[in-house]
Formats: sequence, C-alpha cells, structure tokens
Amino acid sequence: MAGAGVGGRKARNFATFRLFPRDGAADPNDRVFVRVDNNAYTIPGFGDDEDPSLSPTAAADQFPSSTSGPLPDHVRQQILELGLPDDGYNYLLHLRELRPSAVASSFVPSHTARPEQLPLDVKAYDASKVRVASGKVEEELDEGRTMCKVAAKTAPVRRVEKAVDPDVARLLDESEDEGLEEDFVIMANQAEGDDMEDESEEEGGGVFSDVENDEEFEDEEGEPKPRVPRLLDEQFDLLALEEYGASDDDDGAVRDGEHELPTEVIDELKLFHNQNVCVDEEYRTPADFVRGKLDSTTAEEVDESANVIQKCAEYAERYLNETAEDEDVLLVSESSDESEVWDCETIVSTYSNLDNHPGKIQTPGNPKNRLPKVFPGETATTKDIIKLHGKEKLPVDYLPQRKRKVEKEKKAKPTESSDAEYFEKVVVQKETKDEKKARKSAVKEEKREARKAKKELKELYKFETQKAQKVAAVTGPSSIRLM
Amino acid sequence: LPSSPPAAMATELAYAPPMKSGKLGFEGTQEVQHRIRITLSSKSVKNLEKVCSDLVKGAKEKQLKVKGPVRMPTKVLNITTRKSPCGEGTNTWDRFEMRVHKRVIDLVSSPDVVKQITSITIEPGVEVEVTISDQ
Repeated sequence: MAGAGVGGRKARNFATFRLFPRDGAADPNDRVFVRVDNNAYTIPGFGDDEDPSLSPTAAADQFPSSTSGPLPDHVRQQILELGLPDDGYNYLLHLRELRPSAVASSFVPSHTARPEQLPLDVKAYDASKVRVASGKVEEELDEGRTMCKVAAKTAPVRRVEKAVDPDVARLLDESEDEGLEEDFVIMANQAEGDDMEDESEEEGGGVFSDVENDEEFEDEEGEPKPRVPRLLDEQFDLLALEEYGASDDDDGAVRDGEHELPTEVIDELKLFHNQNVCVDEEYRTPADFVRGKLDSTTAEEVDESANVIQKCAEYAERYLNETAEDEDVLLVSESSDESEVWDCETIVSTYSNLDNHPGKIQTPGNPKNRLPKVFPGETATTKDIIKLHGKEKLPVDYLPQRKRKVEKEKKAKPTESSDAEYFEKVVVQKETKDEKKARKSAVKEEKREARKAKKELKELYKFETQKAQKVAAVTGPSSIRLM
Repeated sequence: LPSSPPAAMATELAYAPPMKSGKLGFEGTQEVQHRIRITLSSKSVKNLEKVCSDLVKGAKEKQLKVKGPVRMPTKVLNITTRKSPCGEGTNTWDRFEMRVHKRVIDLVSSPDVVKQITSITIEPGVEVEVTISDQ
C-alpha cells in the first residue's frame, strides 16, 4: 500500500463489511453483510439491509458532515439513548464497533435506560405548584405566583421521581380532620355496636392487644358487650380464666388489657397531683409524701411553697453571680490575636498518624563516621572522580556501611597503600585485582550469611505464614504474597 | 480459391494475443472490479480451513484472481487462575486458553460475485469480514 502524501492520513477508500446473523432469524446461517466502518467510500452493490440494532455505526446515513447544523433527529435520538449528552456533537463517530466473535456475544441496547438519575442521597420534590406569596399583601394569596414564575433560574427536568407516594399523600390529605384514632381496631370491630362506646373507649387509650379487645371489654358503667358473643368468645374466656386466674372479672374497673393500677393508688396519685409538690433536694416518692402527710399537718404545704420561693431566689442570685464571673473568664479567653496563633502543642495535636508517619526519635548520629576516614581509592589524581561499581552504579568507596571493609583495608594494606598509590599515579585508576577480589568476596560473604539467616527464619515461621495466608485469602488483598 | 479463407483465419488466429480466457480488461463484465480482502477468523481450525478452501475453490471456478489463504499467527488468549476457591492448599493454577485462527484471502472481482461466494460457504463459528477497496 502506497503511503499518503506529506501530512495526510492514509486515504480511506475502502469499505469493510462483516457477516452477521440476521436479527431475529432462527437459522444461524441466515447472515447478512453489515458495514462496520465509517469511511465515506460507498459500494453500491454491497449494501445489504443494515441492522441498526446490532451496531451503532452500521447505518451509513448517520454520517452528517462535520459542519452541518443540528443533527438529524434519529441520530440525536440514538445519542440520547446511549446516555450521551445532546449538545449537537455527533458522538456516534467515536463509537467502536463491536466484534461479536464466534463465541456469539451480541449487544442488545437497553430500552429502559434512564440517563438522568439523581444520586442516591438526593430526593427531588416537584415544587412547580407551590404558591409564592408576595410579601407585601399578606391577606390575598397571589394566585398567579407559582414557583416557576418566581424562580430566578429554571431548568427542565425530564422526570422527577416522586419522593412521596401519591396514594399515601392523598390519604393523608383526606384524613386530616378525622385523625387516626388510637383504638381504631376496636372501632372497626364494633361497627354494628353503639356509638356511646366511643367516648369511653377514648378515655381508655393506651396499648391494646387485639386478642383481648372484644372479649374482656367492660365499661366502668357496666354496659353490656357491644356485639353478639360467639362460641369462640366463650371458649376464649374459659381459656383466659384458666391462664390468668379468675381475678380479671372481679375487678370492676378492669379495662381491655390495660395494666390498670388498683384504685387506691390512683386516688393517691390524684392527691399527689393536687398537692403540687416539688422535689427539691432529696428524692421522695409519693409514699414518702403520704407518710409525711400523716406525720405533719397540712401546714407543711405552705412551708413547702415558701421554701420553693426561697430556693428560687437563691438560685437566681447564684445564677447572676455566675454570669458575672463567667464574663470575666470569657474576657480572658477571648484574647483575639493571641488565640489565633498556633503553638507547637496544638499543631502537634492536629497531626494524625493516618496522614503523618512520624519517624522514630533517635539520638542524632555522628555525621563523621558516615564517611570512612580514609577513602581507599583516593589519591591526588582520583579525587575528582568518584567510581561507580556494580549493577546499581553506586560509589562503592564512599558508601557509609562499609566500615568493616574500610578498617580491613586499612589494616590489611597499610604498607601496600603507599605502593598502590604510587602505582595508581602511573596506572589510570584501576583498583588492584586483589583489592577488588577482597571487596567482592566480602560482599559475597555477607550475602551468603544473610541468605542463610533468612532461610532459617523462614523455616522457623513457615507455620505462621501458612496461618497468615489462610487469613489473608479471605480478608487481605490478593496482591500481597505471603508464601 | 476455397483455400484462402482458411489461411486468413489461421493468420487471424495466430495474431490473437495470448490471454487467459477469464481475464478481461477494465469494466470487463460491466461491473467495476475491486480489490477484496476476506478475513476469516474462528476458534476451530477445521471449520476455518473448510471455509477457506471452499472460498478459494469458488473463486477459482469464477476465474477470479485469488491470493491466499494467508495464515495469520494464531492468537492465544490465556487465563491463568488459582484452582482453589479459597486461599488454602498448595498453589495450583489452572491455565485456560482460547485459540483464534485467522486467514486472509485476497480477490479481485466485483462485489456481487463475492456476495454470492460468501453466501454459499457457510459454516458455524467462522466469522467473515469483507473489505472492499478500489482497484
């Protein structure tokens, strides 16, 4: 293929078709040629009925010129269906063709795709019908001022998911006046019964259990049961008697399952209410008050109230004093500029180990022993050049850890150093073979020992790693390799 | 006198340029000739080879210029997974692979002919792609 000219792309004067099984055909051998590229080259004889549902690039007519005005409607519809924005640009140009290989995977576009979804934590309410009252005249509701007219900026929303179920809303609106009675179950059950029952029942209130409702209902007035007793009722009564003893029916004031207090207590409580006693210092139950009442006269009540007044006065004074004090304190703490300045303690407290990984505090090392005192390879000539050795290209001579080596060298070749120096002045900076050998062997030794130690440790803790791997297989990320 | 026409015919025939009977010039069969490349790919070699041979045979019957089938290198798609559903046990691995074979056939013909040929040779599992270009 001849290449194109100076700046040009290769001329796209070809058309590519692929055999697809016909859409909806039972016979897999019934296939048609579908165009799968976007070039302008047309072949009149080869255009089979295109299958638009299979590939978005199939239709040749969806290729308007780049400078055309609004895109044709079907193109826009297709763009919207894919969830891409409708802004006049033909995104279909950039769609890649699908390759349903022999594994028979086919693309079916989703017809129920909803491109505009609110994020899950946002609920949209339809406020279009909200009436906005004009501020000046409050009596008359300005009928025409809906939210739409008043809002500074509106944008069309395609579909607002209703936050409130319309059925529920309707029911709530309807039942505003009636209110939901607390004993609606009873009311529902005694639809045939008297209406007078309702009032007394409302007094009862409280929590009813459905089962006991109908059976044990008896008013304080002693009115008869509201509905015809059935065989089941009698049976239930018997059962209840067996279970809970015969005390239920004896008490005249028993209501439907409400845990009724004995009448004496009720009376006392009422008295207690009437007394209007307040509990000041020590905790006192109603019984205490009763006992107290027995002992002393009612004059205590008057004293109590006097006490109360006195106490109130005391509290008020204290409160006043406190506020006076507080103000002083507040003044002190509110020193404006000084409080703004961070001090080291507050700064340190704002750091957290999540972001900040503090280093361990150690005694500062001696910087002098970082570098060996005598550089083994150093001479007057080589002072400017630092030799790099090894795979990592490190300045071997200047590494800080080679203390041992340095000392060794110093000890081993105190005499030779002068010779070495002499020779090195003549020879171009070549480390003598012995030195190199010694150095390398030292390195090798170290590595060998390290390996041995590692292996020992590994063997020692193999069991632990196995256990850790078990745990990590379930919880940990698979990228971490333990064994 | 009756002998002259045969002689003339003989000379005419002699001057007929030697041409392959099927090869015609531009606009030969009243249809534009294009360069057509048929790419066949499949997972199974047997089906693929069958389709290839059918295509080539069909094209040769129609006296078209055929090149191929050119066998592209097989693509092997590998998936290597742990056999174990949990992390326990010796680390054994499954190696699954899928081999995709590809053949390319070049023709020179009109698009209709190609359509005919490709519709005849039908085999399940073989993907056919046709690229038509200018002569």
